[in-house]
Amino acid sequence: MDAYLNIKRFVLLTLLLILTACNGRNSQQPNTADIRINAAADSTQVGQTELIITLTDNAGNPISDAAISVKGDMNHAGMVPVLADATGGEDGVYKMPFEWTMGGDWVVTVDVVLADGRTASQQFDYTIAN
Amino acid sequence: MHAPPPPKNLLNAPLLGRLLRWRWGRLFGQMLLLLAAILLLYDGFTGPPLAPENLATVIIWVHYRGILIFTLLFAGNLFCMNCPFTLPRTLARKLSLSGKRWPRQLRNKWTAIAVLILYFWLFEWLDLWASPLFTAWIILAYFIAAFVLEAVFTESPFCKYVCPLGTFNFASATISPLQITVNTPSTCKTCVGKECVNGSNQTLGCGTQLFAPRITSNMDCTLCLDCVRACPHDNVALILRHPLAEVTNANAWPRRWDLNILILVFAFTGISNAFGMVPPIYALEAWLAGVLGTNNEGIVLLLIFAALNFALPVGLGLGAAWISRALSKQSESLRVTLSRYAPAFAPLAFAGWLAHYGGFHFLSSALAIIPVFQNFLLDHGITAPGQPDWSLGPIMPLSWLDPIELGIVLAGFAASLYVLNYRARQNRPKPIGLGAQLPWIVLLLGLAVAMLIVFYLPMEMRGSAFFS
Repeated sequence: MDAYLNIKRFVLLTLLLILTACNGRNSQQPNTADIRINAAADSTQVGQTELIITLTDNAGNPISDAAISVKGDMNHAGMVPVLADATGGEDGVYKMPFEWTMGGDWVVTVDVVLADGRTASQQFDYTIAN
Repeated sequence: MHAPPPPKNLLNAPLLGRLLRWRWGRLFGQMLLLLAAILLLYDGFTGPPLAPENLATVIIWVHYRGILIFTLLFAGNLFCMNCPFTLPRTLARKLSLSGKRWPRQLRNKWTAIAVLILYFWLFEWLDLWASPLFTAWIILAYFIAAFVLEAVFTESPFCKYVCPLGTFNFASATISPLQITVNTPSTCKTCVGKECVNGSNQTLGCGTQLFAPRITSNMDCTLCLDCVRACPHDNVALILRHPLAEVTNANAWPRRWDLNILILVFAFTGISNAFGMVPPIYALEAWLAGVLGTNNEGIVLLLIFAALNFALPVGLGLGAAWISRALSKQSESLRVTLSRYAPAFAPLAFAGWLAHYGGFHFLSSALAIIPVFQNFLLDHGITAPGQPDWSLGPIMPLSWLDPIELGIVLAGFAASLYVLNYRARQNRPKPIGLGAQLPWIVLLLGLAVAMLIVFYLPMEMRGSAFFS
């Protein structure tokens, strides 16, 4: 009986601690720049390709002085992501080599840091064939 | 005459023995896993929706499965021993609603087989590997199901008759090196209370109703060690045995349809689970959808996995038994023939799971936990561990994985052939020759080849076959 009560107290206390500690998640890069991000891949077959990221402001003007980092994730937990980055685009177009390491569903996350420090992020879904 | 030395009782080992016998030992392990489960529930429900960035999906589909399979290989059913889902058992028993036993008609493995197949279908249909949210719901569902069944019935039907994780562990543990037994069988003959199974006022008896002196198999044993703590004669032992000791023992398993079909299903699900992640499954899905005139992936996958995981093992198992019986000219039922040979599938079946969960997913992704945990800490404002290095993952060169998987499958195949031949030769009154083993050899060879083909195909993990 004592053991049962102890277990219950322990579980309740643990839940309370976790709920108290976990009061927010703040590492996601906030979108502070109101820009348009477009991503395209040369190929959607397994293997080497080129990712083409296009940045424009709301008026459609190209943004060429941003730093871009890309993370491509398979949808299965544990698969090593593919990373790429680029700086200094031409007419708002940034090209970078990329590799689809496996077939299947991918989520490509494009993180952008503008010259003035504002940031933006967007995800793109791809289905890659073997 | 030299008598073989008695098996080493791990309960007498200096430190390990004290830990295992410790009254709160199991509770301690369960609490650790409960804390882990709470963490996974929390991150699954509130964390990043991307599976490779979420603790729930990474820990369950990479680490839990990988560590589980290696633990079963090198020790035994340690997950069931420390299972957190049964923690609310005491509360459930206090709330016991009816006090009834599990229905007699269901006291077999048919429900467990059905739930196992259903679970693997859900895995594919809901893309559990890709969804932290669904993974968290599955964890929660385990807690609820265990609690409800414990509350409604007097014994532990969830573990023995329902839980798909338990079924997987029981089937795998038939080739594990740890087993419960007794030191002196004669002591049990004169024991009045049979506390190991009945329990007492102070201690629980075996939740799955196993009587320690009659244990010849790890099937249904959760290694909870309640029998050890309950025995007033200190007569229960935890021994190290040869991994093939159980499957080479003709009397280890009852000659039941359900039990022996379970091992065949265990072997076939090992292939179909990996088949769900390679390109041909999508072609098969699209073809079947066209034939049926439906785009309902749930129905299409249900038909595929019902065929691969039940119709095929039952059909091929019975076919092999029928041919084998005809070749051996035995006048016996198909059930007896099947029971003679089905245990031989356990090593190859386990090898398939080991190659998939351990040889591929765990070895290729184990270090992914580091950036995922760093990301989790960053999410909560803890910056000390630094920025996550997402390139971490494999614990060895990826080029080593194919040879490792090949080695595991070949070892499992060789062990299965050995067990098959051993069981045939041990038949009494007359040993059975190679000819009657042939259908089983062909079936084992077919399974091993199918495993290697599936494992060597390129992975293609899609949410749906029905994409353009």
